[in-house]
Amino acid sequence: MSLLSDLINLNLSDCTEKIIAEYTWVGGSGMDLRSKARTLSGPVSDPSKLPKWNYDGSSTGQAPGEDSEVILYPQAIFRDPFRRGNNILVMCDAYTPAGEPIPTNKRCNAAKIFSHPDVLAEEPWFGIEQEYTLLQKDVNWPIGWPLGGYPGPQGPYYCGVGVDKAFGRDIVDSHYKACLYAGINIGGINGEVMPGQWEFQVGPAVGISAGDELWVARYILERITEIAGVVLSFDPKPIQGDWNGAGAHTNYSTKSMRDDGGYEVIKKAIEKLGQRHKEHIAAYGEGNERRLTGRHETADINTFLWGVANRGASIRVGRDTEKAGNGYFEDRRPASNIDPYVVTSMIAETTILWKP
Amino acid sequence: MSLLNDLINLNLSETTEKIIAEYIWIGGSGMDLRSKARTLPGPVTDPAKLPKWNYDGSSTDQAPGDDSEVILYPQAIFKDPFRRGNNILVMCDAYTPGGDPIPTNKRYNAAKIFSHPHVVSEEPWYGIEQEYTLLQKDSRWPLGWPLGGFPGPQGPYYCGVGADKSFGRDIVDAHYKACLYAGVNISGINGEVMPGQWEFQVGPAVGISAGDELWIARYILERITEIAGVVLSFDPKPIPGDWNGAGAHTNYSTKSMRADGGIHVIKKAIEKLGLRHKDHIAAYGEGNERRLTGRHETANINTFVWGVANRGASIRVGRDTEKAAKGYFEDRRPASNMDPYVVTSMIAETTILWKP
Repeated sequence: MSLLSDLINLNLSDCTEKIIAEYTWVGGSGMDLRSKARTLSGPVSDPSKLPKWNYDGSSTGQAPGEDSEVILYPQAIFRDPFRRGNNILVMCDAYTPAGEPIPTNKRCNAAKIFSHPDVLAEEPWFGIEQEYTLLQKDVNWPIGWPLGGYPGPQGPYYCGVGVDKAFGRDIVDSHYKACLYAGINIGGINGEVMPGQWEFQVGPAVGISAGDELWVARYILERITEIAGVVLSFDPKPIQGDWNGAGAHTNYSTKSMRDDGGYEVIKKAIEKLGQRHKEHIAAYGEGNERRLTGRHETADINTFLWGVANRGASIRVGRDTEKAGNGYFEDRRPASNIDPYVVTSMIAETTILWKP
Repeated sequence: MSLLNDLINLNLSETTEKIIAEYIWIGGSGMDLRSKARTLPGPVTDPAKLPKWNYDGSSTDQAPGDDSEVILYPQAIFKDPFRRGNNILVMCDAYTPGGDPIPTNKRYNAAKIFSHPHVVSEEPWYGIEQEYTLLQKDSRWPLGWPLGGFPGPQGPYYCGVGADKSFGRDIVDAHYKACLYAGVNISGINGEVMPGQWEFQVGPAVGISAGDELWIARYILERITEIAGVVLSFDPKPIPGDWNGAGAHTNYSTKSMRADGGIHVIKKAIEKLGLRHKDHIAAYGEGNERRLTGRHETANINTFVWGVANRGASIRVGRDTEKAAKGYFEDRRPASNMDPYVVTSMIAETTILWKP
């Protein structure tokens, strides 16, 4: 395939000013990523300078066939790690021709919350720990697992090394570099407790950019697993039994929390989250009840519990934060299949805007 | 294969002035592309400066054995993305030694129409959306489909990402860059509704160049699938049943349509096309009756219906055009195996020259 690679890797900057822009959006299920590419006349770095586009919403469950155009509004630009050169990835959200966000567009509402003056003043930072599972194509069984059976119990795999303990590191490492190349704020990676499961972290990112960066990081990951011939799963409990689930722990702080005396602000914020536990849980991912059991480093879905250094809690405050009297906290409830626009904006809304 | 690639990728510019020109033409079926190469003494950018050539028409069903020479007239030059350097691809059309176009030469008549003064002054622009299906070699079953079975139903594949949703992206991405390198006006690509089916768009291109560029893009695509070991199909309904067909939707505008008030010119043009529906359908591709059923985003082959944003229509006008009261329209009837010289010139002829 080297000849094919020669063509895929052609550096067009030598023969044309034109660039390729891959427009990316979230489809009708709220988790399916879609993308298509177009040629533009020259390099672009400002999303507001990119043209709007449209797609066939009747093919993604987002519009009827006789009125199928859905409009794409470019919101964020990243460098394309696959095409490189001046080529770009463009994260978009979707609107009707009349200019209304379509029902599956969660970014629009999140952007409204993040532009509220009280929220802006608090500069909300997010760090999202995205867990995911890699599955063998066709059988949809985790990679590295024997067909028709199971690997040895959890223990050796968390941050493990070795052919019998780490499955799929080439995907994880290429994703890490590809994201850094793209301009995504990827904070780190690690192998997870369940074999074949991994985690990457995005952040700290301010406000709406947390959602943009996580969605593009997910897109880059699925493009990479596509190349590797492996299936990507964001299911929160991919294998029943004594196997960890997959979450998207969301770390959060505001200006006040990061300042002296911030620990008190943190406690008040956690209290408010506790009062809206059911509402948050409803927005924290489909199938989360299979994962939040109270076992496997989770708190039971019906319980709201917080504690310092407690991984069995709904919300965990780090020892650093407790010691310094300021910092951030970790909401451990969100599942791996959350929409980050929904979760980040809801945390900001509850802790900054909502009055009990 | 690295040693072979070293030789294929030799940069001859350092050792010789000579270049290689790959002459390309359409064979006797009207869809089979043929090509052969010759050495020329130095770089050439003007097709008029290239020598005419000839080939054995009795081997392509275009001449009898006892009088087999068919003459190739060079018509358009593109950079060769496979040989690179100063090497070129040359799109040709075919003539008898007496200087008459042979029966399968559709370019000749198209060029006549496009040089008619009324057509020239209207500056007809075309954007052609070429759909195609990739098939596994030998079994001829679509790429990514299980042998002896079917993938899950259509839904996840349109613009999809991931090893279980997107089959053959390396071919598509190599083709995109190769075409840009060659100087083909390729404006975008996307994964299609049926898994293993893709689309690229060529345009906007003026007059006869739309046909030249689409044929060269098809040639480059088939060279790339040859490298990848995959079969290229332009059949308009490769798999019967609840699977989309493959079309070559042709977007079209004239100077009058692009000017203020153009929407009225558009409506008149669509009306004329409606009056010649049967004649157009006869020229829009073999086997199109298997595709134009009224289902799967098509209009029934016997019906002529047009509408704004309606993907079930014969002709679709975009919302942008409706709103601006000028622009272009999309003829959704042509099949993937149409001859672009025929279709583009016929649309120009009917809308600009023909009087009901």
